Amino acid sequence: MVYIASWQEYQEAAEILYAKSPNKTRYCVKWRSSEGKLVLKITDDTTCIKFKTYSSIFLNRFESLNLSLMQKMQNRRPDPTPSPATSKASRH
Amino acid sequence: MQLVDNNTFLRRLEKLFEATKDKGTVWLTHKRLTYEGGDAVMHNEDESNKEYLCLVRVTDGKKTQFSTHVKSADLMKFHAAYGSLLKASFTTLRKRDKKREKQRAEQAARRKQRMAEPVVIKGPKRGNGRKKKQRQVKAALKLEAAKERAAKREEAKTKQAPRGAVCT
Repeated sequence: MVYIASWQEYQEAAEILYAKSPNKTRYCVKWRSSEGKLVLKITDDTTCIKFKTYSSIFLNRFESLNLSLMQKMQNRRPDPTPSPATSKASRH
Repeated sequence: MQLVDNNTFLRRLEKLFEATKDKGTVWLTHKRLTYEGGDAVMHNEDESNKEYLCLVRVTDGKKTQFSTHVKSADLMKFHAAYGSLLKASFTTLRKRDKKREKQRAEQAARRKQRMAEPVVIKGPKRGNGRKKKQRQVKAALKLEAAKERAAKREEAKTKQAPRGAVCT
């Protein structure tokens, strides 16, 4: 399995992989409490990247990576503000 | 797969974490929800401007599985609760072990030092110090092999790093 050792590398590889195929990529998290092991997996069914850790120092980075990936998944676009000219016209 | 709303999802996830504290696993999967109700989707719509829901699935590998859809507007709220729930539940992770990290760093430094210094082979060919000299010869060969392996790894790394950006 493709385990990556450094968090920085994993994060970059994850973002690249997601950008490549946003509709097929899934991000999976496996947590084993008895063993204290956290494994992150990102795959687009062609390439797969994993990261495993036993230490809690990654928790914050993990959360921020979560957020950034979920945002990309939703593909949020800021709503285009309706031009003030048209709204004024409708009032008249 | 049971579909629930965000709040129920978080509550059930919390319960699941408690239940699997000593035994069992929790699998979380996040994906973009491109399922549009069954029929084949015509890709005429502008794919880069469409907003999607985020599908989050949980399972414990056995009988529990449920999922939720997260809308774009709810993401920040959901993620705040979700993130803090995760951070609070991952209790059995080891804390930052300064001692171990120091040990590891020292070991790595020692290894590097040993690779840098060459092995001196000197001693008599026959007689009293012969075995010692043979050991030195062996050590020198091992050092050569280790240096070659290290050089190969460096090459592989520098080759892979730019290639990783251009995945197949």
